[in-house]
Amino acid sequence: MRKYSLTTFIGQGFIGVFRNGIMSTASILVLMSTLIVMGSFAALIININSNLDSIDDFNEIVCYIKLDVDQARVTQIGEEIKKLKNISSIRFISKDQALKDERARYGDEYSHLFDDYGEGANPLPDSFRLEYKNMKDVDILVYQLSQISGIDKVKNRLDISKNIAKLKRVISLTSMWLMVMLFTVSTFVIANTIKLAFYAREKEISIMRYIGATKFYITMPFIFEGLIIGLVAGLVACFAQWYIYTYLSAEIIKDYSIVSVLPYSSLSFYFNLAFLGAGILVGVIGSSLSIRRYMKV
Amino acid sequence: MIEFKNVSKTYDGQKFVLRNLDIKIEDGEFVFIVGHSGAGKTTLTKLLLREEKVTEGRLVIDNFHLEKMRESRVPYLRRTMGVVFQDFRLFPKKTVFENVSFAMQVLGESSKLIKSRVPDFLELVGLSDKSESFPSQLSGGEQQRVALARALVNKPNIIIADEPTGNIDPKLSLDIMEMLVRLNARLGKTVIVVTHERSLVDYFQKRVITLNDGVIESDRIGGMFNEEI
Repeated sequence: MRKYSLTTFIGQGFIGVFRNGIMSTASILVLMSTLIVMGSFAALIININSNLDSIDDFNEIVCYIKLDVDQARVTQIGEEIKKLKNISSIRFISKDQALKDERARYGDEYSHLFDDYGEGANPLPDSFRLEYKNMKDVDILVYQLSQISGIDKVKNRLDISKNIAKLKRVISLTSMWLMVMLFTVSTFVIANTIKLAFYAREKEISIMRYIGATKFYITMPFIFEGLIIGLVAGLVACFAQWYIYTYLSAEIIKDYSIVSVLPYSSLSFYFNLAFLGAGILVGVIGSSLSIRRYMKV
Repeated sequence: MIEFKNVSKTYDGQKFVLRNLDIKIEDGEFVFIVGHSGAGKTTLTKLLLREEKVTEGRLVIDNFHLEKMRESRVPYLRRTMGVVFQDFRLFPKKTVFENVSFAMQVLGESSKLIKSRVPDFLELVGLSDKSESFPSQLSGGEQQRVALARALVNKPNIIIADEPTGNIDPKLSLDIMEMLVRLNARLGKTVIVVTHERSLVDYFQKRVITLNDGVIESDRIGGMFNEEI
């Protein structure tokens, strides 16, 4: 007598898939559809996050210089700012440049409003626009800037940055929960589909029991059957997701140039891994759950 | 050896389907279990196969004490028996060869042994030329012979046939029964046939245990089907 071999179980798994073709196909289709829905949802979340990242240029602080500070001190202030930590870039905007920018912002129609603010009457101050690296330490940076003599006001858009960060957190958390729910629902859908497949084979399982097959012997081919179904569904989902994503991203870019869409190549590895992993996992869990009720002696 | 000692069985805790059975079947015996519908024949078969547990008493089959047996041991008990059912219980999507060989695969036998032994048993039941056929392509009698080959292929000591002739015509019924008698006589297998077929029971003149309302009404060697039931 020999021990049961893995190849025997794998072989029986394949035979089971082919001999129960209709139910196997139904299981594969249900699982594949669920994986694509989950994948599409994940792709949407990833792209929303990526777009939120790209509008992250609210990490800007503007330091307005007091009007009575001379040019030499302004240069010095610039040097002092550069020495601070958490600064990624710094740009000086002279009061003349600021006036020019304001005039341009209002356009030709209202440019006469600025006619009175000529040489010597420009009310706008010199300023430094700087970007910080880390939002966490921005309060310290604002304090340090306000302590530099000659700086009149320090303005930042921390509130907007914080809101974006909060939004990203909410999206991540929500999406995580939704993915967990989708995964759970999928497992039950698959378990039910596989259960239907097994129901049709209840007699077969009962014969095995009368012959003296152990639970292990009866279960293993079904587990492999679930694994094969999961693997095939995962593989098909990989190709389908690639096609859907590529097609839709091309359409979105064409119609909404403001939105950026990540190339599929940057996601494919994780998607393929997740689809194959989830497919196999759901297939195996689904089979195990379904077969259990038939295992009473 | 099979021994029922004061065995009772109830499903609902009130009405006993079997009551105080005392039966001893020695190795190599041929026994008919007879009785009308509802007499307890099916429950008795279920107890033997450990499909159901005894409610009271002791049931011993060789070294297995069924009343206190763990679930995980049940497959090993069943491997000591070959079972033949009225509805054949063949795998419809497996060929005759695969149906018979499956019983050996379950025990983890090598494919070499399977390939050499299965044809012998198909020949024994006269189905050598049907090994590649599917059950749906066979007559009722042929399907029962496949079931018999499957029951025998692991060389069990005990053969349990539950209404083996219930779905086949009288001529083939006699063939099947003669095959069981031969197995008993030549190979010394213990054979238990649960049946309600009066003519077959009377024809073979073996030990007959008659059940009536869950109790043993008679237990006679060389007996006949009780005329009164």
